[in-house]
Amino acid sequence: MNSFLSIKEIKSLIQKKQILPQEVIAFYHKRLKTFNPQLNVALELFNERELTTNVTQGPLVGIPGLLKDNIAQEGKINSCGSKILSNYRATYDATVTQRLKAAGAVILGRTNMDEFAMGSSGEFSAYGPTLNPWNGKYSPGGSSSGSAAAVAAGLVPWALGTETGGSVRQPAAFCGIVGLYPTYGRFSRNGLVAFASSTDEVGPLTRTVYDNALIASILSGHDSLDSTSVSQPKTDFTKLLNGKIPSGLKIGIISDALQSQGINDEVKAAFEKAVRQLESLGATIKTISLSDLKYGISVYFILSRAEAASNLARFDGTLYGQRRGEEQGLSAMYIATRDEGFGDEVKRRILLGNYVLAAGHREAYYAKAMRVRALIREEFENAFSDVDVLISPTTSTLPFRIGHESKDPLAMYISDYFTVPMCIAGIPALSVPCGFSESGLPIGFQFIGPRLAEPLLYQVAYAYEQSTDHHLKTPAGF
Amino acid sequence: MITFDKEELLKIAELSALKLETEKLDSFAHDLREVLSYISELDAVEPPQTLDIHLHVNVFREDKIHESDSARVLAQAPHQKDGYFVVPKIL
Repeated sequence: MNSFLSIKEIKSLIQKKQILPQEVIAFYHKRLKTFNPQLNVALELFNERELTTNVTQGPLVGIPGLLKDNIAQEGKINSCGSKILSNYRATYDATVTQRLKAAGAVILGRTNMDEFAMGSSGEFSAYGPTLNPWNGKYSPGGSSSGSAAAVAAGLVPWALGTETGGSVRQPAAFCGIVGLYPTYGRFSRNGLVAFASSTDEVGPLTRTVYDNALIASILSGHDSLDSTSVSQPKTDFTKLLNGKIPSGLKIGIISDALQSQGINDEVKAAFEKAVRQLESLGATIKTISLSDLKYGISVYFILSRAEAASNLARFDGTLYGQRRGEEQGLSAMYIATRDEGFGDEVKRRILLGNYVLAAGHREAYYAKAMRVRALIREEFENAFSDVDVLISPTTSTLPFRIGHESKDPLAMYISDYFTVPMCIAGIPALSVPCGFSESGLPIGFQFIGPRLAEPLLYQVAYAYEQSTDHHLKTPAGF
Repeated sequence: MITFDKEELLKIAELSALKLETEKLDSFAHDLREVLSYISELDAVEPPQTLDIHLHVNVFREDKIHESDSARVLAQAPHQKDGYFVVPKIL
């Protein structure tokens, strides 16, 4: 069996009875066992004996995958890449976990991630960094580092990541795969451990656009257990994938992205080639300036840290996870538990969050950021009255060298420049591969749409993907 | 210019229930100063007051009783007794 088959291809083999679901599961389980020591994609691989499904009819029967470790799987450790939750077991399945299982999917384990999803390189995991399968000296991106690297290395056909400011799309771009940041509220977050609740979302990572749309379809549909869930019915996102883009489609290039400081020449060239390709498929291309997007990073800094400081206040050794310093009294217990349990990056973000929320600062920081957020949202809305879809590179740079950018937190935060604005506006964006650097590192670009435009994004991205061969390339050695 | 000194950092750390090792104080203060100085770019933006900041809508659900499995939740606590979470004495 070819390790890099798409879900669609595996399903067809199963349907033709050329392979049994149990054999598919055993095959990928073995691959993960073989390559995990090298890449560190998974924090846990479940015991092979329990990897089975009772579901006989469903879109994912026998299709194995992985979930990022901040998504609850009943009875399994749910560490969020942190020491503070190293012994915490989820008491229920997240809604997305439930829906995947009900579709017949078999979850092989939990993937590595930056602690509490705070990071862009996977290096802030308490359990060691994940390596990029295209070149082990490089980061796969983050925070969904393990999920993206596992899919790119052909160790599973799909995985779930989560994104707050770029954590699905950026690793997708760095690993040469497809990743979706959905409309805010499109997929349920019941059972997702919160980082910054006003932008946290779950997103699928796959090697093809079709597979991504398939997983997204299974995750879709309203969930009464998540009060931010949009009232949309279950949607089949694969329906419009006919290889054509809608006639008269207008695509806008975000010009500010290309003029931004520090954009890598090879990223720019690959993106420009993708633009020409879209033009040849019949799209009308327009250049649009969205000058307020540049404030995205600052707005994100303030809001995400403020929300993180509030959300992570619950980890104090009382209700779950690790407890330290009990014998020295209550306050000392809180402090000792958090001091030992959290890594430096999490502490940095909590500190900044409590600083911007502190008395006397709130108006200058939080309230101001909320107003600029509205400005960015409005700027996108205006753009979508002019074009159907926006495009830009997913990242300004090639993948980071491990141990390099993580030493300079500010530089790493600013690298989210192209992904953060969509999270702030709550609009969907789909990253797809658009080429490789001369050194063989993947490059991605993204299709951005108004709220609930996922069907259109998938349709256009699929037409683009089918006219290129970037998604067919696989990393050597796997 | 952002003035964010060690004393301020220690105060915020206390509010955050975090202890910062002495040898890391300088680097934490430096990192936070850098971020604060970066976000001061927002001082130059003045969004119109008429912008709708919140997109809040009320979400209703039926007021139905659901079973809850408190025993399993409690089982995850570091210390629990007779159906309660146990914490160090505060009085």
